[in-house]
Order: sequence, then C-alpha cells, then structure tokens
Amino acid sequence: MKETACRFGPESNLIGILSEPEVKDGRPNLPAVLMLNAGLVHRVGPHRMSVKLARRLAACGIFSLRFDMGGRGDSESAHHEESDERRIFADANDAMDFLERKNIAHSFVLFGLCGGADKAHAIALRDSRVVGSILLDGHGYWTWRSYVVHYLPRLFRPRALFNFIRRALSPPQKAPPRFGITPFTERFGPRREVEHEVHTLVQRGTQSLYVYTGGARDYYNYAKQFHDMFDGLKSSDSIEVEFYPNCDHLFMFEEDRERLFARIVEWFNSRNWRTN
Amino acid sequence: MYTPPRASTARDAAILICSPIGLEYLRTHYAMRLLAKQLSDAGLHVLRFDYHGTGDSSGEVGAGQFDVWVNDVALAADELLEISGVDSLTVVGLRTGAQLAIEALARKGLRVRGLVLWDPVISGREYIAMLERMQSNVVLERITPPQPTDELLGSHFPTDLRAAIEGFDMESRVRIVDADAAAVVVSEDQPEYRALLTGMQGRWPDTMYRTMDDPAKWDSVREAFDVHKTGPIVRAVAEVAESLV
Repeated sequence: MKETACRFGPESNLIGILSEPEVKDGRPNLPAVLMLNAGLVHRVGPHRMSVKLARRLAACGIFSLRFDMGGRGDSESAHHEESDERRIFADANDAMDFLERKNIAHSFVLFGLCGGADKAHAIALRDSRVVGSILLDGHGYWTWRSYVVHYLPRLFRPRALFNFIRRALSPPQKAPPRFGITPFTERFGPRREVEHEVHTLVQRGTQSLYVYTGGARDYYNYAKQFHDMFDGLKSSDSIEVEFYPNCDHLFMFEEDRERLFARIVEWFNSRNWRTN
Repeated sequence: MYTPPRASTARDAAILICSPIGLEYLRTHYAMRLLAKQLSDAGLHVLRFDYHGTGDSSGEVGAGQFDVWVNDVALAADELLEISGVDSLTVVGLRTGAQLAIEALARKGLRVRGLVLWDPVISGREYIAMLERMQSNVVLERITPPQPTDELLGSHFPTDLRAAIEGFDMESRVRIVDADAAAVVVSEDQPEYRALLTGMQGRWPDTMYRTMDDPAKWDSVREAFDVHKTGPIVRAVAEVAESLV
C-alpha cells in the first residue's frame, strides 16, 4: 500500500491523501472511493476512521482519496464567487478530475458520514461518474412505526410519561442538539423530493449502502425504516441498508468501525460496477 | 505540514507545533492550522505533524508509544531546521503535546529559543481519569457495553502509554529544557497552571503567562465532539510565540 499527499483543484487549494494498493484488483474499471469530510472533521475522519478504511480498501486492491473540501481541514477555499452548494460540487468535481487525469479511475464511490452523507447524495445526483455511495447516518424521516418505537416504551416509564405531558403543556422549546449531529428537521429536504432523488439514482444504476447508527435514533430507530419512509421506492438490489443501533454516530469504538469496514468491503466486492 | 513564511515578512526563525493526542487531536486540528497560518503571516517557518499512529502518519498506536512520539518530536525539529535553513527554533505544545515537547527537548538535549505551553496537561493522572469519565458517559448511551479494550474516546491508550502520561512530572522535566525563554498560555486560569508558572519562573524569571478566561472545556463530552473554538486563544498563542523568537 502506498499513500501520497496530493494537491489539486484550480489553485492547488485542495489537499488529500491518495491510497494506492500494492496490487490492483483484477477487475477492470473498478471505481475509486472518494471520502468526504464528516462535518468539520478533517480528512482523517472521526477517530481516524477514513485513514483506516482507506488502508483496508487498499489491502483489497481498491484505490481511495480522502480529501479536505475547500475551507475544511488543510484545504483552502476556491470558487469564491460560488454558493456553498456549488463549491461542494466544484470540489468533488476537482477531486474526480484529478483521479481521472492520473488514470486511477473513471468512476467513483462516495463515502460520507452525517453532513458528508448529505453531500455525497447531492454530488451523486449531479455527477454521473458517481456509481455508488456509502452513506452513514444520511437521510431519515419518521414513519408511524418510528413514533411507536420511540414512544411506546415511554408509556411504561412513569417519569418519561410525566416529562412528555409536561413538555406537551409547556411552550415549545428548541431541544439542544445531540453531540455531533444537526437536528434532522433542519438537515433533510422534503421526503417525497428526496425519495424521487433516490429513485433517480436507482434508475441510473447507482449502488448505495445506507448505514444508520444508534446515534441517529432521533430520526432513525428501527431496521426497516428506510423502506417504510421511502415507501414509493420499488425494491431494488442497488440499495442496501444496515442498522447498527448499538453504535454511536461517530463510530467511537473499534469493534463498530471494524464491523463497518467489513460490511463496506463485502458490499463493494459484491457489486457489479457499471462503467462510464 | 510545513508552512513557509510569507515572503514579505520572512524571518530567520522557526516554530514547531506539537499537537495533542487522541480526541483532542481531532478537535484541535483546525486551531493548529490557524496557528500555523498566523505564524507564517508573521514571517516564521512553521511545521505541524502527526505523531506515529495518529492522523495521516503511518502505523498504529502500540507498545512503547510515548517514547516513539518523543522521538517523533525530535525528528520533526530536525526536519524543520533542515527545511527552513534557520537555527532558531521555538516549540509550541498543546495539552499532551506540551508533555511530548518537554520530554523530547529534555531527553535529546535540544537547544531552543522559546518554549510555549498551551493548556498543558500537568497532571497526567487527572488527564487519564478525565478521559475515563468521558468514556463512561459515552458507554452509557450504548445498548450493550463495548468489548473491553485499551481505547479511550476512540484512540488506543496501551497500559505503558497511560503509565508514561500519568507518571510525567512536568514541573521537574520542564526545568531541564535548554530554552532561552518560556511562556504559558491557558484558556482559563487554574491553580495548577499558577503552580507550574511559579516553578518555571525559578528557571526563567521572565516566564510569560497569558490567560484568556474562556474555558476550553476539555472535560466536556458534548464539547469534545465539536471543533475547538479557536479565534482569541490562537491569536494569543501566536503573539506569545512570535514574541519569544
């Protein structure tokens, strides 16, 4: 495995680490994995998750680039005249162009956690070079069953019931955010719109692995919720969903990271990657 | 990562930045970047780096890690002097980075122009106990507890690393450092910082002491997952470091 620090982008403003396998996977046209920032955490990822995943992928013959988007980590902002959203697309485009120019890959799998998952979804919609996404604690919407899962146990806990009634009778207050996670109501677009976007990606043949943790239980709290919240989506082999209720949002414990890495490698190797 | 001096202001002096370890490393990365930029703008050569087994560097944390990291600081100092071509070096150490900087300078007998300790971990025992308390709070959020490992808040702390941090005697080790000047910059005035200052003034009578009255809340689980609030204290550290070169 070889790791190389790289500068790319219009003003060489973006910084990333390219991880290259000793032996390239025998499959032709395999996509490279592009790792996006998880919120404000720089390119190493929470608890060095991106570093360890990149090395695991390289050991399996898969290239990856973990990089800081403009203004994050060690990268400077470019595309100053553009909106935040356009800068994100531009940075991702610069990263993919860079890997294409180096003839490393011509198709890509995006990896993102939390805000990084939201970006990965948006970038995948816009750039047809994206053939897959690994989305950790991405989009989520409550379903009737979410309410049951959330509130039913509380009915049998007098203290929780008392608090619920007290809150219901009190003027509304904004709940403090759980650490590391933006309140989901502020993060996601309208459900049907996002469902349509996911449908578009499925139609395009984009492969997606959604992983939800216990750290997202404010908006995702049972294993089959993905299929219930996007009930207009037809069942598709291109979407796989995992639910790790015992795992925290930032994969703090090694056993959780190891479980995730093993699942990602298994998922990556089980896909028939389309070529561009 | 080497940041050269801004050409118009270049000076013959270099600053080595020693980051904290573990979760505090993640939390302070942006502050380190800002500090490097401000020092570079002031005309200084700056190097910040990841210790072995942390950040972008190779390897994993394992046995003998404290000594490996101490060697890393010495290697980084040599590298910075070679890249920059200057011979005036000032070292800034944040939290456990202050411990590693002091130990490297003391053990290797490196001579430096200045030493800046930023929110230094003075009692390693209290530091490890703090991490254990924070970890316990996170474990409480789980449905089932994790398998027992040497991890604390997502980073490995093998037994000998904990022992080295816990047993580190900052007040006596810092006095061995061959520095012309020293300073302590803290986010919040604390008796232990004052005690350290008193000890350092025995060695450097003009030791500077800057306090920001803006607690960094190193012991807060909620804050620990946020990127460290930066602005004023980074400016203070940059000003103090610049004044020592």
